[in-house]
Amino acid sequence: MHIPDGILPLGLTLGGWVAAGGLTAISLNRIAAQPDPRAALPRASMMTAAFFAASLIHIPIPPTSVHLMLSGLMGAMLGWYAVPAILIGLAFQAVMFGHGGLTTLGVNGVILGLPALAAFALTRGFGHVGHPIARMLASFATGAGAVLLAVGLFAAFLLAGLPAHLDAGAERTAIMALVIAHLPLALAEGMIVAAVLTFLRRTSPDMIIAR
Amino acid sequence: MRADPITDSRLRIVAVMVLAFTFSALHGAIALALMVALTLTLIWLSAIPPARLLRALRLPGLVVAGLVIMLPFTSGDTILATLGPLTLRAEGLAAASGIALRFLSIFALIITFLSPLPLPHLINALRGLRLPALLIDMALLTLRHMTDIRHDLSRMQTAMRLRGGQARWFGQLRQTGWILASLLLRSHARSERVYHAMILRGHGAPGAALPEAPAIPRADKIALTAIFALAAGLLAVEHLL
Amino acid sequence: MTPLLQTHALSLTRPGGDQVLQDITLQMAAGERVGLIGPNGAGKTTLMLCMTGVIRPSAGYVQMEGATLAPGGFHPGMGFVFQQAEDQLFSPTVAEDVAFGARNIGLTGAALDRAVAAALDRVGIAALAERPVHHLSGGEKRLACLAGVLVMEPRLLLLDEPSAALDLRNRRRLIELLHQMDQALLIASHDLELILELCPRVILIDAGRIVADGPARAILGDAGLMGQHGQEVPHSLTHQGHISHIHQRAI
Repeated sequence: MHIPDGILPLGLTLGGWVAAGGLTAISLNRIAAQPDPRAALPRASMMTAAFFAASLIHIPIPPTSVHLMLSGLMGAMLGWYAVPAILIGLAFQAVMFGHGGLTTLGVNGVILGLPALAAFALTRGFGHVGHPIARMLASFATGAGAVLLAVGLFAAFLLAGLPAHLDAGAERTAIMALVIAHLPLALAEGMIVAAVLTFLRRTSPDMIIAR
Repeated sequence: MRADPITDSRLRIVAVMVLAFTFSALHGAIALALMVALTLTLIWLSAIPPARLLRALRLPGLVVAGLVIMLPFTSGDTILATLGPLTLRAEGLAAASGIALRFLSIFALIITFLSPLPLPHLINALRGLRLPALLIDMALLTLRHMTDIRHDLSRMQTAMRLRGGQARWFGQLRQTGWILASLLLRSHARSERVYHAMILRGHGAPGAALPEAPAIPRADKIALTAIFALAAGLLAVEHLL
Repeated sequence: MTPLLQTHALSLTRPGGDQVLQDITLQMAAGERVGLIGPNGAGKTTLMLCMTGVIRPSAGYVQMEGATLAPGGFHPGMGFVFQQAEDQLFSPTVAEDVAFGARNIGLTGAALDRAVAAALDRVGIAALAERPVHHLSGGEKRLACLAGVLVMEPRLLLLDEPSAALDLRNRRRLIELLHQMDQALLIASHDLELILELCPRVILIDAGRIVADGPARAILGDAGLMGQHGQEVPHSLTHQGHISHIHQRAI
């Protein structure tokens, strides 16, 4: 779910950096307002490393295999720290493997960061719902919804960024195909995130941050 | 003489960013040609082995190829050639080549100038560029633990396979979720230990000295100025020609 | 009679050209207990993982009960217990973790429940069945790992540093437990006293090669051989010397 360099026009890439910068500023502000912001730092970093490792797990979805996105889970578990965590992960990927891009780092940060914050809000809103099935559904939505939201943002940025004189119909078809191709990932990730959150609620409920 | 045009990592980041954003704004044929020439010159100056560049390019190149492959056949009105059921169109071809050239040039800059720097070095350079301290500390700590955690995960997957689990199978999503949850629990426990060890060695204590930023060599300042000028020149070519 | 396990000239070369294992040929009989010793980095863990087929050797092959094992396959006849319990335990509760392997050998329903209960009982942690694994103590985690492997009824158990990080009481409990087992055991450990107590036979490896293979007392008691490969003769074999040493000090 990364837009590489060279595709989007300057306006969008710069706008992406500004938007990602804004999200980061808000997040750092909220983090600074917490009682002991530095205490949560090692935890957030360690989790960022764990998410980075986990995003390399491949889930075979015939005929191809995809890797997990996990921004929904990051939002649920890291709260405001999810935004810096995602940007750090993206920057590492860009420099280490050449995945994603440099000019598009901001746009990609928004594509993954907004779903993470949405998942954070969802977890905060529904995390204390008593009924186990409702909780399970909310957890599933955390994972699947974040993937769908990210795919939607990804498609919107691509559509907005393509030159206007091109055959919009064909491009739209291709992008729709892309969205449909991600439905199995959304389903798989929803189920995995539901399993993770259910597990953690049973064993260490304090791990799910959402505050 | 061939040597990295800019040695200071902070200025190098700035130079790459300026060039990358400039490149992403170019569309005209002449501007694109100049961009490629500039990129090739910079690569030649840096003396990076071409094989390494090509190896790094393989996978991301495929991704971009996948994104632009249909453009020449679907977009535009000017038909260049008909290849069986496919019609090659001029506007689509131009758009696809523009994207491919911009992508390749920016990618080459990253691999040539940023990737050879050790990551901790790069992160500290960002500290020098006044990025928020929390972001920098978090990036350094993340990096410090990445290898350990990746090893943890791979050993857990091995252990699972030894007991007959197929963690890589679509039907076993719950098990993948459990492995992930266990990895997060482990990482969390590890982070508490690390944090306590950091505090015991004076982390965040008042009076702690910050790492000193090295002075910027004169040659680097000149090189950076030259790069700014080249970027401005490219933008001028794009808009005036 | 066919041996339980045979390795034939197992070698492993890393992509960089490092020889991690060289020409490892060994046999184990059913029920035999063998200690695997050697300095850090000698290749003990790698050798055991190679036997299980998780690591594919560059040359050589492994046979279990006469049948050649395909690398990468699942061989429930051979159980592996990891040095770090956290590598192995991944389920919310102890019972669920033990059930994982049992399910993978095809057990379901009442048979599954019985097998899990029996395995927990065998290592003496039946009371912990419903506890979250991440809340167990180090010793309990080790036992849960053992149960998770025993439930598949292996004929051979590979144990990687089973006593590492155990306190004296838990170490003793583990030794007693291993003593009662009728499975063949291959125990990689730096805890030479544990090996001496459990294993009549010892294999010493260094730099990926078998240096010695023979009776435990002969190898562990050979100060020259042990010293040459970074090992020390265990105290219980130098008992005499030890006493006289203290005696001298006392005077």
